[in-house]
Amino acid sequence: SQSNRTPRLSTGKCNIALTGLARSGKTSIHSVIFHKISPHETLFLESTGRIVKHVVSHSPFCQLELWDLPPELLQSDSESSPSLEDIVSICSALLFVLDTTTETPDETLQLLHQTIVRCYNANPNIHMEVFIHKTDVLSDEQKLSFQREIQEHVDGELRDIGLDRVVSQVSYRLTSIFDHSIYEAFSQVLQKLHPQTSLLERLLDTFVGYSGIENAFLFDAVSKLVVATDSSPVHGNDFELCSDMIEVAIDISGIYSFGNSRNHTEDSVESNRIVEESSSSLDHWNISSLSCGYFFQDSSCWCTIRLGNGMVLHMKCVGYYLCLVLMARGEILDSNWGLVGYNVRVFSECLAKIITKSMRCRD
Amino acid sequence: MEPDRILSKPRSRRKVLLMGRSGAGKTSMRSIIFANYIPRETRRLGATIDIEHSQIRFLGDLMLSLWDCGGQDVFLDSYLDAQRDNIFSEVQVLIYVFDIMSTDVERDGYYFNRVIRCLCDASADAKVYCLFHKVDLVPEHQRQTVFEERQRRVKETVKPFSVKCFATSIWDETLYKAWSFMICGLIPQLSKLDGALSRFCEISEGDEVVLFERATFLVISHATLHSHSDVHRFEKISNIVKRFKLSCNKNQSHFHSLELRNSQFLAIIENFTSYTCVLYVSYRSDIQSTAVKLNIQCAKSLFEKILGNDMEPSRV
Ligand SMILES: Nc1nc2c(ncn2[C@@H]2O[C@H](COP(=O)(O)OP(=O)(O)OP(=O)(O)O)[C@@H](O)[C@H]2O)c(=O)[nH]1
Ligand SMILES: Nc1nc2c(ncn2[C@@H]2O[C@H](COP(=O)(O)OP(=O)(O)O)[C@@H](O)[C@H]2O)c(=O)[nH]1
Ligand SMILES: [Mg+2]
Repeated sequence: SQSNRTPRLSTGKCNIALTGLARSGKTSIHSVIFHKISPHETLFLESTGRIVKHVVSHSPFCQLELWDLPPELLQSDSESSPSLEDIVSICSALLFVLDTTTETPDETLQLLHQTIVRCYNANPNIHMEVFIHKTDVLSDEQKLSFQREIQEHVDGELRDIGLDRVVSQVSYRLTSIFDHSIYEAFSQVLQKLHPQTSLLERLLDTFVGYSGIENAFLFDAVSKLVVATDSSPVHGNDFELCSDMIEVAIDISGIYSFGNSRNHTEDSVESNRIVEESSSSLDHWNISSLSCGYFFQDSSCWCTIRLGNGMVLHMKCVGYYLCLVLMARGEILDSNWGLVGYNVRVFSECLAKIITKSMRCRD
Repeated sequence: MEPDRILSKPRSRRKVLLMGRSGAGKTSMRSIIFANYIPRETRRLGATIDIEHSQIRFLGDLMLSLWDCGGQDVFLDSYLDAQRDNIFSEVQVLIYVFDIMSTDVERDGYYFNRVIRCLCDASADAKVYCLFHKVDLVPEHQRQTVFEERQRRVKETVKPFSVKCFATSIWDETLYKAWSFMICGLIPQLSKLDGALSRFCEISEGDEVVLFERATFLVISHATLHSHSDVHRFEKISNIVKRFKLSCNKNQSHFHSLELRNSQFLAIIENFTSYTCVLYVSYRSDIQSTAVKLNIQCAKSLFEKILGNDMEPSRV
């Protein structure tokens, strides 16, 4: 039977440092993805004055420690302890949030490449991610030219000081909390960091191949980040549609499970308060108590949505706070439910093996 | 059913005034409810110049003539003066929108007062609704007090009308709550629908059945067997499904139906009559979704009849 507890992988938690200038959107990003604050509510977030560590304990593939770092740490003369170097030396990734609406673009760029160099020196294996953020205010053209400019600038600076090999270690992603881009960007970071990604991809490929379906996604159910997808191409906004579907399923189950959602709202108010409290100290807290937890542990839970173009989305909770979403043509799925159901079961069993195996490695 | 249909044949046209000062959010809410905007897109809206008229067909038979009245002072002054007769005559509903964050409360009150006077002269039996809008900008713990304070002030001004007030925001279900309530008040067949829906709920062994207008996803009617602690659940579902529908549209497709089951309940959302969708919920674990769908199919023609859509609408 599938677990009620979320086990951790052998690698332990993945540490990610979140940096950027004041008001660039660091706290907003992790609050929206992991604490389910709606984007417009980030208006009320207060500035984070100290180092705050947020512990994310979702599915086994989404075990993170996010270090929300105050901008002072980025100043090269900062004497704070722990220093930026101390923190990135234990991190697998550095996430630099670059606000596209900033009034001091030159300074920001300067700070970006300085930070990259410092982080590389402190931890040469670190993945560096630049989130070019608040792109909701830009046109598509502006977005691309922004990205090109920033990337050319940083690449140039790095080459000038002979750090050519660092260039390929930095990825750039266009993000906004007001659309799906932040989830796509963070999913990619997550997939880069957890060691089982390619194994899961192969498993999904096999599943898709044997079931005659178009795509399959494995989601971390609470954050709606994608842990792995099969390797066939994903059309347009399909990924977004699948994650929106999970949201619909969570929201409606929140209302009708136990016919009682009052607890639900109180829970989330409660957690908002904790966020504010934790911003004043080095603190951590755990999201898995969120009421949607019971939803994803209910392994009898599934949802099917039919679309006008004949496509069907089918979601199934597969335990460990993970859910599998597949897209298929209606006529194919309808004549194959038995086979697909069987394959989902086999997939879940393999998944459980992967998870317990990596737990055993750890112990 | 027959006489009913004949009565409703000349399409009933209802004049709805949407007023309030500039920037209050009138065009935003109209665009979200009736024109499938997502909340974020409303930031691009410019100030409305003079009046924008829209004709909205609701449930097939009801014609809403919605007057979105641009709220800059010059326009308001002209509505209250030169255009007065044109605007305030034969109004069925006045929806007056206040920006709850507005600092110019005095001037807000001044215009509201004058609008009410004009309405009283020209359409004394109109219904008046006040929306205190953008509550999302008020910190959560203050919302109730701020709302009550504003409501109290409005109720003093509005005599001899009685007024129903709502605190709304484009960012959550409060917008659906207010608009469902206001629009439902205009549906003539409402009590018939309520009765038929209760019967359907009983026959199909459901625990809850909710009827939504298909295009706007506003709640029209519901039948509930057991009391439920969340009184805002229908508006939440409107909001949830509408959001998902927009997400489907972005993918060049459209939402068709949903089926959701876990160990606690079964929920089905399907297109129902030509202008409605239905949500069916059962807490029974032995309920078969195919049976439910069949029941929904069977009930369709009865509801089409009640809504007066069982024949091609005759053109004059
Ligand atoms: N925070 C917040 N902003 C809102 C809300 N509703 C509307 N707005 C914003 O308010 C601004 C003005 O909205 P409009 O709908 O153009 O205002 P209006 O009442 O039609 O103004 P006029 O046409 O000049 O009378 C827009 O930028 C909206 O995005 C809300 O509920 N909350
Ligand atoms: N337009 C826009 N604003 C954003 C976005 N992300 C964050 N913000 C806003 O930026 C401000 C600062 O965010 P915050 O997370 O407190 O920044 P921090 O100091 O880096 O933690 C808040 O008012 C957010 O609402 C985004 O993607 N787009
Ligand atoms: Mg307007």
